Amino acid sequence: MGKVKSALFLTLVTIMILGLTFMSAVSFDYGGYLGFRSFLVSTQKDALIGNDLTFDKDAEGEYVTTGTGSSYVGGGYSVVYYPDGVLSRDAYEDELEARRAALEAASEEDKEEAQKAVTEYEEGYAKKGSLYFKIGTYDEEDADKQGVATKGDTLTVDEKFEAAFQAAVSQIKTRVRELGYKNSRVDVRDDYSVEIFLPALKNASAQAAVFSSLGQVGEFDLRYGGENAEDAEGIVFAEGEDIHDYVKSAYYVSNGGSPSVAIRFTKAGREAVKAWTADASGSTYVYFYVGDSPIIPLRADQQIDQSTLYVSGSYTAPQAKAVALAINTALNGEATDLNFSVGEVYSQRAQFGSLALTLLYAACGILAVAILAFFFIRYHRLGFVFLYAFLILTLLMIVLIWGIPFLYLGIETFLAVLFGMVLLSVSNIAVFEAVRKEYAQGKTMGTCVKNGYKKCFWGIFDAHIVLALISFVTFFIALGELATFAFTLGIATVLSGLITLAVGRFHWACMMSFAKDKGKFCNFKREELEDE
Amino acid sequence: MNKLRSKKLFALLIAISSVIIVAGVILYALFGFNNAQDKPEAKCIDVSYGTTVVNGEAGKDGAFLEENVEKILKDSGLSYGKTRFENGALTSNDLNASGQQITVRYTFSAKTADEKLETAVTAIEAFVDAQAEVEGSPISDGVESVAWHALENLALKKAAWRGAIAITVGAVVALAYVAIRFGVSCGVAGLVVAVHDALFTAAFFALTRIPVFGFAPLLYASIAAFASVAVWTALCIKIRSTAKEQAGIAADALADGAIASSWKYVLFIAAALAAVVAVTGLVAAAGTRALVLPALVGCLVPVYSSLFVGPQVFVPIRKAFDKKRASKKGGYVRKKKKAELEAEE
Repeated sequence: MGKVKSALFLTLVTIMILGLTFMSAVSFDYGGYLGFRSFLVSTQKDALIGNDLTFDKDAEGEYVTTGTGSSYVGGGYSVVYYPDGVLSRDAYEDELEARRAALEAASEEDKEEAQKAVTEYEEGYAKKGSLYFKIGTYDEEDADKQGVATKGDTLTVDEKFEAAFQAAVSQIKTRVRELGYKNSRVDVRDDYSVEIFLPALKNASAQAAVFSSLGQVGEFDLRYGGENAEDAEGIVFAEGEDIHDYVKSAYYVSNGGSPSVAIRFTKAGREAVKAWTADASGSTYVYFYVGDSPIIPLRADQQIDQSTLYVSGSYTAPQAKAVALAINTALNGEATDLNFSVGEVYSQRAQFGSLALTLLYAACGILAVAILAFFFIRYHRLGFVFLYAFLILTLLMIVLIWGIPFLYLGIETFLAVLFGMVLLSVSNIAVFEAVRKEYAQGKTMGTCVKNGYKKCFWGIFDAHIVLALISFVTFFIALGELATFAFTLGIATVLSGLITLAVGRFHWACMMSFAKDKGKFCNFKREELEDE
Repeated sequence: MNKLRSKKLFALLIAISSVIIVAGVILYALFGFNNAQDKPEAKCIDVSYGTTVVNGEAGKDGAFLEENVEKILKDSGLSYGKTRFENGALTSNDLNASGQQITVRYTFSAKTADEKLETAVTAIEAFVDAQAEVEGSPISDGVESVAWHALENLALKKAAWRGAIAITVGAVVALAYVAIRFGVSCGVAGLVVAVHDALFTAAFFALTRIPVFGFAPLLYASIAAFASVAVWTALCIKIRSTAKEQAGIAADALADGAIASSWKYVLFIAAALAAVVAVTGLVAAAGTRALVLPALVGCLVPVYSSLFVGPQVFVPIRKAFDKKRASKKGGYVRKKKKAELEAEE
């Protein structure tokens, strides 16, 4: 290739690399609350390594999380749920303090009443571990008078409450598992409260709705009425009937791009809803209850006559999934009549510590320097050919991880990218060494490069195809971290193959056109032949 | 015969592999992996306090409190892991961190006695109360609560069987390609090696009880299978080129030649992968290290299997195929001769 063409081509490639590097690594603000977030900053991060920078700015210039997808922004939230009749120490003490304050502030005539309220409260609860339990028998009939434990020599938790709690935990566990968010976990805390951790989603309000749905346990019920849900009427079951004779299941569906909850009715259920909404106006509602509150309040503008009802509303995908799971687990899971209230909420930037992401970048930097140093030492200026290949692979991987919706930065992603870099390095070494051998035999550099690539082509092609095959097949079947690792390695493999066999060779031709001593350029030497 | 392919050595290594894999499978069936990194059971003390929070870090007042809490815990003989949360609030349509309150969670072994934790909590509360009397104390009224909790994690297992199937199917498909390109013997031997490596790696973790994250053993097994396929393909490339150069070469000689000319590449690839894992693990944060460093096993097992196991499996299969081919060829030659004789008659 001629020098002018080479210079032009290399300039263009260099500009492209610099531009991509800038867009990948540099964030800046402009014009008040406007700002540009680099690919690395705005790439989704998992809960383990977190995100060292917040995602975007609002109108006041405050950093907030935004977006509508289900992808992760790094770190996550833990929410603690307490069943009715069980209080955290803080909640108990706050209420007691409030009653004591009311006692102190009470007038003489109200004092007796206020004192009674304090005494009743103190005697109404007993401490076990870090929790306070309402004393009394667990009463299914009257929700307002639920006691969950009896006080003797020791505190004994009511058996019925215990069973209801275990059933509720089972429902919650199924929901979190089926939601399938990476790094999510469910802990039973102090035996009778539940702590759920979910990775931070881009959309905070969607995440709030997900947490609300996860904690809404209890029995599923179908009711109808006006705007006031409390006045809604339920189905009058015939003998031997229950809700399963009316509703089959619920599931998440993306209905024409709009996330929806699909509810499948039985014939009787369809008829019931049809009858309820026969004279539907805007003030007719069908309520889908889970526990004590409606999880879907559906306003019917016209008669509903469908075997599968699609409720879209303004759901985001995570919300719709969580609502469908809540209905399905309440309908088909273990029965419980327990209600939960939200206690403590914790936010975590990164489960592996605030430096986790920075240290991973540092590790990548060290490895990159080591790999490049090897190439520059062994192949001198030919190292630039590899440098360009290496940068192109790295930058394209950054762009792809940023741009592909289901990819995120996690440790498995880092490992896959690094393995891709190793593959690129090994492939380039194979080619360079093949050319070195050719050059040693006294051939011209042009012939050597041509022969070297020719000799290595099928080997490199096969190795990449085999790795790409195993990666993509694994991705299509596996779930979670393994799927992410496999897919990332798959695209890194494809890019490594293309860059080694096509781009690298072209760069080599361009760069070498400026070298007077081509052997010196590559640190290749001729074999010294001894005269016999 | 190459030293690496001696029959005695092969028998010994196969025995070792079999024992490790069988023992690993039994231990996995009985106890699963040691998922201690997931902290399936733990106890913790949560200390919540108000402070100025900048990027998830507490201000100076928080540092003073944490320092003293940690001193109390150490004096009580408690060793702990530490996690810092920002306290938040959940409403029906919003979830956010307050930016003003921190909860520091000190996590202990599940075996820690409740009384010991109770005593530590009392000591921390006493310290906080005492600070309230100290004029100018940085935590005079900032501490919201101190409480200890017992945590029991509910495992959310779902992906394990799919992951195992994924790796197997992936290996079968990839090695079907190897079989088409390099011959069935290479494909079958490669499949044996890949499955061996994945099983060996998973069994290693079940057997050694190295604490891992729940999802990690499958990731390590897949790394082993992927590296194994890559390394074995490198050997197959050499086998094919030798077979092309020397037509009719014996299977033993092919395997020996492949080992002799490729072992350096195999070691180089494994060393490069291991270096990547080791550097990432050593530079990274503690949690990352716990996740990444065990992947070294997945990078190194393929060296052992591709040099010691793969060629030994390859040789008898190749011989069987050579024999079959020869007999087919013989049949063809006999038929051809018979036809010629008939034509002459």
